[in-house]
Amino acid sequence: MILTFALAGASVYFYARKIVAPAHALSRYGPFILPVIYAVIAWLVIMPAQMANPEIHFPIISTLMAAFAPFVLYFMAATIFGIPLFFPLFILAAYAFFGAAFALGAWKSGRPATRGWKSTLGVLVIVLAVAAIPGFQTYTRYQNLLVTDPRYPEQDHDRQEFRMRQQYTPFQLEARNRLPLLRQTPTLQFDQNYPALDGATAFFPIYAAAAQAIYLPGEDQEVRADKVHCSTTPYAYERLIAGETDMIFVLAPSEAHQKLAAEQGLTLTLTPIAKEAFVFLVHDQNPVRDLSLEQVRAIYSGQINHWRAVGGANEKILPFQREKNSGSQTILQREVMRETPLRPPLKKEVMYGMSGLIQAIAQYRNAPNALGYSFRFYATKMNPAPNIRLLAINSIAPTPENIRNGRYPLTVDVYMVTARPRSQNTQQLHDWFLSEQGQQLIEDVGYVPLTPAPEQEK
Amino acid sequence: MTQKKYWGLTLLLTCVVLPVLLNGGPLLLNYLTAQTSYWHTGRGAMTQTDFLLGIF
Repeated sequence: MILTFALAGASVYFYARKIVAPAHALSRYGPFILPVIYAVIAWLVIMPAQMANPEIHFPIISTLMAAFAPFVLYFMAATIFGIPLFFPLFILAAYAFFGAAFALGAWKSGRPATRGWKSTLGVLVIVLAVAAIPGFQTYTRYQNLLVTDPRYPEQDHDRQEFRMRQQYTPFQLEARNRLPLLRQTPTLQFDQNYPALDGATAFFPIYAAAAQAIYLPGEDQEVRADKVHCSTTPYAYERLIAGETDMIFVLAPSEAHQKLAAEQGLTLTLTPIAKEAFVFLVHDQNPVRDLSLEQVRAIYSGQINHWRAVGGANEKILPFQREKNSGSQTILQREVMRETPLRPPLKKEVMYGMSGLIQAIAQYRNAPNALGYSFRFYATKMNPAPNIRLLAINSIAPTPENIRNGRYPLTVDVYMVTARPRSQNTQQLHDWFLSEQGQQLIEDVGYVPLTPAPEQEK
Repeated sequence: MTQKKYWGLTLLLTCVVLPVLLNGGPLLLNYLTAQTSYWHTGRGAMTQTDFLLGIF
């Protein structure tokens, strides 16, 4: 692209050297200013249409693409990088470059414009002043938006989800999944009436490993496989409340889920089965290794915005958040923020349908100035990303030992949750998770069990 | 040269020739380099999808 710009600039330069252009500057540079005026008018017409609402449901992308059809390739590149609404700036820059190339050519050939500079300058000032209006609107729109940076891509959640499901889906021993086997003969087994299980992605390995060990193949293999779902925290709670599943493995419910259960006349029964650490993640180049809870709270409430305020580099903090009602977002609000309101989350612009633009919460990108949160097992074992470091909180690292003894301040309980009277099999499974064998399996999967496993007691 | 002719010619340059050059340049260059590398690796003709992906 740089090469073609140089080539195009050279063409304009030689054209200016060959042609006898009008001496009046406005007549001479009019053909260069006209496309800019067109771009600014198009920008001005399109931008206010979606200022009130960040969700643009009308086909803005195809409208812009049609308006700037001659530069379709560059517009597509701007869309891929997540900044399509800034595209008119490219037109401005391109024609400023060509105008300069023309001026250089005319000057070299000894035929510079002799008059009309004031009026040309006046027109340019007006055009730029008008361009400032949609420019400011676009800038405001992108304030909380992250643009695509190829060095720090957003984690590919679909691919991770696929990989995770491959590795932790039960009943696929031939495929050698990562679920551990029981050390001794199972003390509980079912070959029918399997309890239906669901839960958070971060705890899928716990109940998947148990189901693999306990659910014997019955008459219909598909029935058994269909009893183990992983529909993530918000949907697992909704499915439990709707009666579509018997028991879920999650963190304590959000207020919204408690309210939903109460509306149905249900009481959620929570039984802790393991301990897990809610962890904060940074890039391993980030010199910060420890934050206090107060500092985390100040960052996520918007009081602290630079890493230097917490002993880091002189860079702005990119504090990523998660979707509302997700397990980790609920913990952030309940355990970290408490009564302090959260700052608006970082968002990204995504295509809506074929051509609209909507804003979605940006997932963690491991940039050197990023801050995110997750759970220890998920971030280090299930979905380990390169160059990530877990921060110590109040100088205590989220090690299994510190989780076990409860010293790590953001240690949370993993719960089995039921919403209705348990069937006999569900009750047996519930009790099995609390048994020595159940707790041993939880530890073998990689989590911290409630009670020390027999080996640790020695 | 009359002012009218100058405007006609220059607008043709700024609104048609330059955009065609700017879009066509990367397309042609990508096509040539990608096609050449295809020939060198003996993979035969390039598919349309490979070509389009290669632009970016």
